[in-house]
Amino acid sequence: MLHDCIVTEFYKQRIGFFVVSAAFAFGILSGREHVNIAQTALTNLPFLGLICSLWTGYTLMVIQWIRHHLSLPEYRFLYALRTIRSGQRMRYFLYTTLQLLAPVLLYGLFIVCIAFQKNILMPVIILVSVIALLIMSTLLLLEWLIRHPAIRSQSVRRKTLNLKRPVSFSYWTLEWLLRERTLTLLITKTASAVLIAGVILYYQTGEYDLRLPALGLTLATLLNTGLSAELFSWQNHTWLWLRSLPVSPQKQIIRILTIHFTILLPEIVITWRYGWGSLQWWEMIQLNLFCLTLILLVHSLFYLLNQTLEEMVRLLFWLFIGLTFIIMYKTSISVVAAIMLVVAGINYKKRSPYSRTPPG
Amino acid sequence: MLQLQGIRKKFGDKLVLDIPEWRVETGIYWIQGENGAGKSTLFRMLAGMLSFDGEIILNESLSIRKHPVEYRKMVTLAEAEPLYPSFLTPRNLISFIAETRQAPALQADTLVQLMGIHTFLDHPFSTCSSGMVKKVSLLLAFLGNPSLIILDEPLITIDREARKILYELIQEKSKNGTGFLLSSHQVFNGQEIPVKAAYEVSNHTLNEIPAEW
Repeated sequence: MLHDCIVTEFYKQRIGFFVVSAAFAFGILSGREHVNIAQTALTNLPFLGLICSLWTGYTLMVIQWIRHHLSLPEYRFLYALRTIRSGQRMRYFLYTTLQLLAPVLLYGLFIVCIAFQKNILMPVIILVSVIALLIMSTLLLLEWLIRHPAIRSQSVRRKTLNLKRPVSFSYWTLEWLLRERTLTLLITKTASAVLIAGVILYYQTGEYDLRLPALGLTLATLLNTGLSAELFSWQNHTWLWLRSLPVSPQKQIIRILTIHFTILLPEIVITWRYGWGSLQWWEMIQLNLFCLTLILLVHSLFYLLNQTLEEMVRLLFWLFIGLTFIIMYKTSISVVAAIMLVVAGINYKKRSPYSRTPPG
Repeated sequence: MLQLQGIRKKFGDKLVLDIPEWRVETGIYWIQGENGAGKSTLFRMLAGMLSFDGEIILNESLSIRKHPVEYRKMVTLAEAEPLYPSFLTPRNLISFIAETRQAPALQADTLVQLMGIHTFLDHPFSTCSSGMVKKVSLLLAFLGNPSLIILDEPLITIDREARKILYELIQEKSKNGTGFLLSSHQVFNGQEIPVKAAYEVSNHTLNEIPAEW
């Protein structure tokens, strides 16, 4: 229960932080550099202090998150843990704490291994003491929170930056995607970005024409179908009430365009970043327009067919095969983009929320 | 005020509503029906949220199909159990709807004060109680200049003070020519709400029922 309600939720909600940290730790720094960091920490006390401060910062982040999380109404039932035996409860809390502090523990273990390998054992005592202190403080905080639910809920108020949220449906949609569909967004964007970067780098290794990046971008764009499905679901199922608002068709189309353009922005940036020098600027614009019209076509198919993503997979597969053939037969991708845009427009006009036959 | 012609609504193979003809003039109408009878579905259709077969015409000229945007400006709905994105605040939502419905200046501020929403205006919906969310949804239904306001179970979860203010608002708007469709399992007091007629959603259609108030 604690694993599902606290540990899983923590890693899920902080996935952005962990992805960025992992990208830095394992993408930018090499294994040799990690060994050097460990060695420096073992021989240089201020540097060890710096690492311990970072771990303390991480622990404070965990503590802050737990305090807020337990104040949410849906997790108040966890206070029932107060009724079980102290020993058993502490065991549960220890298990939870170890999982929450896993990044600190694993890196600490790595430094300890290096210490034993290099036979530098004195700093290990400091290291272990700091880690034990961090575990103990998290453990005790959990116990205190469970014992003082009322005091905690009255005194804890989240400090937020007083920034005014724009009154913009497109902005809210993107915010919702980022907040509520973080995992889908991160996985999609990572996979799509890696694919595009790989294809464009490969393009630079030989004598290829625009068809190669076009094919790669077709696949990368289709990887965004999950996000497009989420957007369709958000507008037509999750928040059905939106349909009762008086919004002109032009405004609806501009919203769809803005949202999808923003979603594809990472792909567009990567195309320009890696393609600059090997692709001409007009070729990159063609590729970007091709991606945008393809995702708009896919989005319009959700309106036209009113199907779930699972039901659409077969159609998407055939769409990919069809586009592959069209591209391989040297059809101009600008022409393909124009056709896709027209078809998307027809689909949307036919089954938009305000049409005669809206989905649902 | 409102005219329904050949309305049919199915969910899959299940027929939910089949209303050949229904017409009401401006006034306050009480829509009753057992749980699952189709009241909320009817209201959602009237608000343009659900697809259906047939035609809905407002004020003799505005068709939900031919004038989708103009129609939606004139019809508002406060749902029985409103749900809003948890990260938004009432202020965000009220500003958005006021802009969308081209509400007169200061209308939103007046309603916010009247409904007592100012105390939690900047709290995210995730931290608002169901009563607070309900008050916001009721306020949103009054924004702009609608001809028809549909309130689905408006009395649930709100306190006595808010209920009194709601009655006053309904009366005031009704005097100015706004029509109301209200659904409630509670009986309305004739002095508080001058209901013109009551209808029951049963056997997939709307049937007029004798006054109980």
